[in-house]
Amino acid sequence: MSDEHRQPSSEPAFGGHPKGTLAIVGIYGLLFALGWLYLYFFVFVPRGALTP
Amino acid sequence: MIESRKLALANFWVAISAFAIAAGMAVMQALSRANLDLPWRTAKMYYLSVTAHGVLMALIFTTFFIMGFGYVVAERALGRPIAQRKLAWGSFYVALLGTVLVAWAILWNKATVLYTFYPPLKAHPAFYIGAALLVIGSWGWCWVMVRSYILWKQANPEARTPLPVHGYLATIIVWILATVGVAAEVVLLLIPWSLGITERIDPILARILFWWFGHPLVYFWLLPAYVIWYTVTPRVAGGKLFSDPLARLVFVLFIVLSTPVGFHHQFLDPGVRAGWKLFHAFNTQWILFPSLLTAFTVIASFEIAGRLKGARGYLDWLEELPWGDPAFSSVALAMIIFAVGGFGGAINASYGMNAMIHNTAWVQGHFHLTVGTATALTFMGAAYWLMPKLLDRELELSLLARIQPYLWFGGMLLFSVANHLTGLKGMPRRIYQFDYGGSEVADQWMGGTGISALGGVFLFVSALCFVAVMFGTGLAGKRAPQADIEFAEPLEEPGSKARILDRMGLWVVVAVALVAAAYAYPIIQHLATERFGARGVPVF
Repeated sequence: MSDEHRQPSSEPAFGGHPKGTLAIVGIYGLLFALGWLYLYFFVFVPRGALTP
Repeated sequence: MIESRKLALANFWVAISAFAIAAGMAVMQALSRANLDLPWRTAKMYYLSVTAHGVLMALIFTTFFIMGFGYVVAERALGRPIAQRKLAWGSFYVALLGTVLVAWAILWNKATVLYTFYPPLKAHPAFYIGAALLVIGSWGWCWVMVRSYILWKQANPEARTPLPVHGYLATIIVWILATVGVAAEVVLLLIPWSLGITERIDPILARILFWWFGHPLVYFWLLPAYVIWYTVTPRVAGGKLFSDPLARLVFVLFIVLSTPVGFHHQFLDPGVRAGWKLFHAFNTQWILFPSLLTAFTVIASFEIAGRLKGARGYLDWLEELPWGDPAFSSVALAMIIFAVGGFGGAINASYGMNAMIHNTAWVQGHFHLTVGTATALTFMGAAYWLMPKLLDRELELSLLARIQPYLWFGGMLLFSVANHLTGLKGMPRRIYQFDYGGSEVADQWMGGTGISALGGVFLFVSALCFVAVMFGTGLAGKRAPQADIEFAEPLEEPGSKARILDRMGLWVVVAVALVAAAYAYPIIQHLATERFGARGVPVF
């Protein structure tokens, strides 16, 4: 069932940057920051802090 | 075949059994959330099941799995049998005795104190003594692992520590540092109090000591999952680890940063000054960094796997990954869920915003994404990979194994997203009557609780599939020789790069200094105040 037995015997060279990974992590970082800012400005600030 | 096979299997079977019982407790809570008028539905049963679910899943399932996997890692990665096998077996039985005592106390309704066992909620002494024995057993495991490493190092003074062992040494250091706190709480405060030797207990001090342990406990769960992500899954995917030194850096950062963070669970507690809470808040935000590094390194390893199979575009390598292999899909789905959980964690750790979600359903939504999926689903994936090899049997009920991770993923999204949203609307966590007698505010929560209950049912079915596959494989799997246990190779051998990351003694010193800086003065400050203590409150 495991794929580990199908490792290629002659591997093509892996060079350069992992561009797909950079794209995924970059998009995640952007969503992370936007999500945090959304909750801060549109949920937390309108409710106000516990102590003025 | 590894020599410590029986030892590893003994630990795994305890873990899987605890998981099965805890899953049964979870579905009772899920159905209770749907407000169904079930015959056994009482507040007493609800809180008993919350306690049992939390303790059995978060402490017993995880600890035994981590110990069992640790023995496999030590023997295979170091290439020699583990040291002091009698001590290893003794530690297993001590931890098992502790587990039996804890389970008895909870299931016989003598310890309905929830997984956090905050005083003045008071449990039977067997609960605290059992918890202490579990920790003592785990310390024995730590010593066996460290001794095995030392003997290997003496025989191979110039060799780099194998990455899986490096990760496990980090796990052990984090665990030892963390359990100092809970050992102090249980031995000095809770056991004497539960035995009647002391009449009153200091709840604030107990909470400080609990969270000294409680948050690094998260990394005790997570680091072995990271070991699997870095050293097993890339190979299962057909690729190589993108960067060995980055992985080592991540483990070292966790050693240093895991423990001085506990006050972010106590932002709303009295007894701890604001400045110290802010210090812990900063430390907690720093710890997001190694997890982001992990996401990058592991996804890049998957990209390597896809490209080795011929992918050339930006994202077409995703299609080349073995999504039908549960050993891979479990981890990949766990990582996706963990990305969401990491976002929630950043809100929890934000000093001001924490008040918005503190002790709400958001929190249970959050930790079901982290420990409940990033860790638990990874462990399930590792079990699909490892158990056939340890048993020399083929995986039984493989169709169930293939669908189980997806059921868990879908169920957890329903459960956790619903809990995050109801939490933002103010729904408290750990409440039996969440309709608050029909109040208008509580009406807003009702849709969410129904969705969360549906998610819980999905999760229960998924858990049943996992347990069926495991016991099916153990009892009836077809005997057949399996591939050896081998770990992923890095794209480039580390050679002598960043050798400082292997100097565990140095990182222990840095970590101890940070723990002292984070806890010594606040505890002294607290002890210097006038304290009155509280008598115990057995709720049911």
